[in-house]
Amino acid sequence: MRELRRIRRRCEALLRTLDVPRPLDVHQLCAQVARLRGRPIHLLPTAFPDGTVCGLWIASDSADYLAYEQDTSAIHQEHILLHELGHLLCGHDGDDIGTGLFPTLEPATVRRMLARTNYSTAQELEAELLASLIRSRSAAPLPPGPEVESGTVGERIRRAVSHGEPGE
Amino acid sequence: MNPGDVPVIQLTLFVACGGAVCYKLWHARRRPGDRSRQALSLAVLALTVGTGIQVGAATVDRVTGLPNTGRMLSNCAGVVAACAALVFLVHLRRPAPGPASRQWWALAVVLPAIVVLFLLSPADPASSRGDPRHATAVYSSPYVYLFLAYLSYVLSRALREAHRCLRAVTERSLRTVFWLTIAGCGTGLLYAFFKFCYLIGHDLGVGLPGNENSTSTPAYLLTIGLLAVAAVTPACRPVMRVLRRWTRRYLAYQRLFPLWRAVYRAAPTVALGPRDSRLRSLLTLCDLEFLLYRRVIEIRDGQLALRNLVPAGTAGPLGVATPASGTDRLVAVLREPATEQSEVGPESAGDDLDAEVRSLERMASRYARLRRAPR
Repeated sequence: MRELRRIRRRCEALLRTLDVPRPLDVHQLCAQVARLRGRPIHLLPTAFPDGTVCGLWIASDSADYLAYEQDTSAIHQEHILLHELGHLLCGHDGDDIGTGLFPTLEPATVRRMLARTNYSTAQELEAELLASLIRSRSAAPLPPGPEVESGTVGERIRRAVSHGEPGE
Repeated sequence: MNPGDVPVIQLTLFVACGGAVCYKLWHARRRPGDRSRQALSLAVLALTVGTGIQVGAATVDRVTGLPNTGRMLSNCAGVVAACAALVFLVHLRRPAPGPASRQWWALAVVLPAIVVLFLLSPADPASSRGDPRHATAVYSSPYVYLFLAYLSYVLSRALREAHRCLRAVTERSLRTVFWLTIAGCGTGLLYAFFKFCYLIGHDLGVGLPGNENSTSTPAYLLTIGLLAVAAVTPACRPVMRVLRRWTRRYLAYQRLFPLWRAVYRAAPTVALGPRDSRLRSLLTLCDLEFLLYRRVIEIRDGQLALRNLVPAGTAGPLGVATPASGTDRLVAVLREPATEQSEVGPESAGDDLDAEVRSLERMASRYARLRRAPR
């Protein structure tokens, strides 16, 4: 549990350096990370065989591929992608688990690969925590933003009286 | 009204107004140049000071050695509050500085005049708050006439402005704020009217029924109470929203517990930081956004992990062929929504945790029904 707390603190520190879009748009976040890394990220919806993995990060010489289970709910798919992005953001090293799931990929071009299966390793734990923190933070209500002058009397009154809270 | 209750009500109002001041000042930081917010903050601050002085009026009189000093200072704070409230309302409709600055100039004349008239009036120890006779005594001074006249003028203008603002807004909460302001101004005018009648009656030697404290004091307290509530009502909205959200999250977290525990027992590797005790789950009050999200993801992970365990014969609708073992029942429940949700692509995955939670809550209730079904 102490290890979990330590990793969480590290993830929170990393999260503070990220400009996560609110509301969360995972595609936008992928594009942002791709810009940061200077290499494209390709998303691969995949029907993984039962009992194998539900997400995979494959790094080739020129691009990153994020494969995610397509036969699950939208929010779960999004989470799997965030988990794989978490590996990229944390700078994790991949394992050699083979490219059997993607026979079209040339084994020689695959430099690193990480699969989302369980949280037995620190890397998986960190990626999973970062993904969960990104999602739960971006779902939290936004603080009132900077205010602008408005036109109508009703709008001005609403803003002045209700401190910029959104209307009913 | 029981005279003994008055200090308690005043103290309550003082605390409430103090809270409103902190809130208003905190929010005023966000737009430092906003004159309407500055005026509103000043109004609530002056209301707090005025109520506070009323509570300690006897002490103020004792310390200064001048009877009714506390009353005069409280009245001064009252006119500042009324003027600031009027400026706030004027600013809402007409942001230009002209109409508001006229009000400040009027206050700048009235305030010193009140102090001078008070100092010129003969001392009246019987009406001081520290004197036991003060409950029935009427304090008469030229300053009180000026105070009441100015207060009536400002409150009637504020009432008119609040009514105009009321017509300009449609939101229920904002309309409530302006209705409360109108009611507060109305009771304030009533207070001034009662006070004026007793003052005239006292100076002309005409006995009026009842006494000043039993009529004007409730009106005065009601005025401050209504205006304080009007000032804090907008602050209640975000607080209520946060509370509603927290309650929804907490209830959903508890409702998903039995399903999550069954998933966790069948596939322990899905859990990040397992909280498999019912009591611990019930006592979870913080970090709910994160924990509920984890619970959702872990159930979905379990759904995938247990996918290969589905026995061929249990694919039919629930209730038609009830699976016998606990794991089979869980797997049967987990299986259906997985196909329901598969049509949604990541493109549509927005900020819709609520919909996901609702879907899993339905699954949890199906699981609960199936678990109770006879084998």
